[in-house]
Amino acid sequence: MENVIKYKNVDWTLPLLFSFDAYIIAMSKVAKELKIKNPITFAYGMMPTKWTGGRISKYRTQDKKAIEKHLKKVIEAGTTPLFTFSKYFIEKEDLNDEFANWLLDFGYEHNCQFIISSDLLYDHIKSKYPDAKCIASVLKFVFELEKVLETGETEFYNSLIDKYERIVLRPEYSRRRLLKHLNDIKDLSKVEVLINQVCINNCKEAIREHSNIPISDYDENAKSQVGVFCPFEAYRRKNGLEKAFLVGNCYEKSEVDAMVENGVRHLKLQGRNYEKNSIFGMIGGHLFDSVGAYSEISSYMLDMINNDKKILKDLIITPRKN
Amino acid sequence: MDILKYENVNWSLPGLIRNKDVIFLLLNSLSMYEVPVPNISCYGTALPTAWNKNTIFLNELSLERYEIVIFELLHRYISLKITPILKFDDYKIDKKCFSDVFANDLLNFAGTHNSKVIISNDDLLDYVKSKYPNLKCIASEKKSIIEDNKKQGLSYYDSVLKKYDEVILNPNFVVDCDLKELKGYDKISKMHVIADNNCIKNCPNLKNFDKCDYDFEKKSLKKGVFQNFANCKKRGKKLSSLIGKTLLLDDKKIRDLIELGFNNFMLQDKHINNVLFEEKLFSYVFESVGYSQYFRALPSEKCSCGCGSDKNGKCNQI
Repeated sequence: MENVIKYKNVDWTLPLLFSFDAYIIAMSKVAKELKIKNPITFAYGMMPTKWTGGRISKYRTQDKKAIEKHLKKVIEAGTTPLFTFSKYFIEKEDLNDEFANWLLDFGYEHNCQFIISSDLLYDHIKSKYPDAKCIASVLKFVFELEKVLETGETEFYNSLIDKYERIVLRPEYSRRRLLKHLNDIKDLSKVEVLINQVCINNCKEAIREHSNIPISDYDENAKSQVGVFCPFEAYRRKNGLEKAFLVGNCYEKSEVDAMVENGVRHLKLQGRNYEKNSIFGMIGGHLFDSVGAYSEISSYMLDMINNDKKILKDLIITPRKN
Repeated sequence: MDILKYENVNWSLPGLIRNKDVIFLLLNSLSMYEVPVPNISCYGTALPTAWNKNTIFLNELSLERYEIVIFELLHRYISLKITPILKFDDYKIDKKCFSDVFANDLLNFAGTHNSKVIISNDDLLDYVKSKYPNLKCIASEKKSIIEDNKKQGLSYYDSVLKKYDEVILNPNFVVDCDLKELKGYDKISKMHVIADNNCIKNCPNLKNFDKCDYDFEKKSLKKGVFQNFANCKKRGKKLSSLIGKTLLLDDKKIRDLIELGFNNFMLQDKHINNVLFEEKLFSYVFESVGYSQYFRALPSEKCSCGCGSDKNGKCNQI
């Protein structure tokens, strides 16, 4: 039965929390029934808060009871929630935000982990909970790229490996240089590789985009700037997709295989802004050996998600209004 | 670009009408990203006719409207360089039905546009060949399942291929056959293999096409789950008891068949929603990991369960 899993020893970090959580629940039932390890080790996401970074969750609520029930259900399914508190420009007064701190408290009590990029937030979390598990977001290295390159990228990651539970490597590095530096990485078990980022190498718009996204909820000017210009698309239109692949950050299958064969254990997928339809297939195609038994599994999961009310019970499912 | 799951394979995709949105969107994406279209054709029963009476038709347009637009649709496939293969696969057909006007109009399209047809009835085959001698006729899966006596093995398919140009193999035959027997068989290139039939192996229901409960099918389809029998042997079965017990071909079997010379594969003609169909494309035809996500796309204007609601949150179905 283990043959249905594509990469046997990989812990997946998936864009499902407060996004497509029904998939997590359905997967846990499948894993239980097939007596296999739940391949969704971690699921990340977060609704709008003063600390939220990356893509914002579809679910916009501050209903604590609802959030508690939702998170407990995900945890019971055997998946660890990762809160994307990855906003880089966090101000000191943001650290006092009541809702964000409530989430931190609840998350810590329930062994959730925290994806962060701000050193200020890191210090705040560790001062409250010294053994809280923090993950260095890829955004940290995007915003601090100058420092990263001055230090040397491998050295920079090594300098943080003891501080963080895991480090999400920049795809520019992991895709092109990690395999050459495997022996130089202090602890390979603590690196996480993002394999399906569709951006261009060293995107010049990344900082602007990820400065605007976290505040686009309440800042109309920021909102109008999000996604306006995509350098990857511009490159592709000019040079064609085949050339664009070479300068993009998305891995080819053979490259993912090589990562796993060389001992990388944490793989991550992006996609919180994808339609549910597309995420379903995209995730399944990465987790499972997609030909054969997976056809049965995916039909089974889809049937559960669409027809089994118990799957959706206690999950927040009302999306944001705008 | 490493995007195809299997090299040098011709795929026949089901759902000329019901899967058209996904197929056209995929072709549009491939075109936009300048990715070469793989070797695909699209097959299906198109619409109910006198030669395939029990075709289930579930679509937003009425049957009457589709009888008008079907030819535009078929032309669109041709313009996109996708061969539409029309299925007229009732096993028993009264010869009086051969004069049915609409069926003959569809046949005429196939005969004049370098298309193919899938047939179960030998008399219909003779009729088709009398009108269009060069039209390629494929013996249907239904015919193989009803007639294929496993004791005959390859000799059954030898006899079929004396009359038909190509044949869709009984999925039970594919799963059970000794691949060594197929080595060097000179008609492999005329055989089609269904890669994803998920019926139970040797299920007695498989032959009972005439006893399909089509009302039950329609009801189950509306729920988003396809089952063509209320007494389907899979009903109520745990997932763990189904793995390895169905006619699904795994990757090793498909690669072994390709090595033997098989290059015509099909996805089964079953009603599944857009999500599962798109997933099958990116499991069997395209590599699911890697570059394919640049052109993965699903029609998103309407909720894919068929409830008709706007995609933005009114329905939790996917």
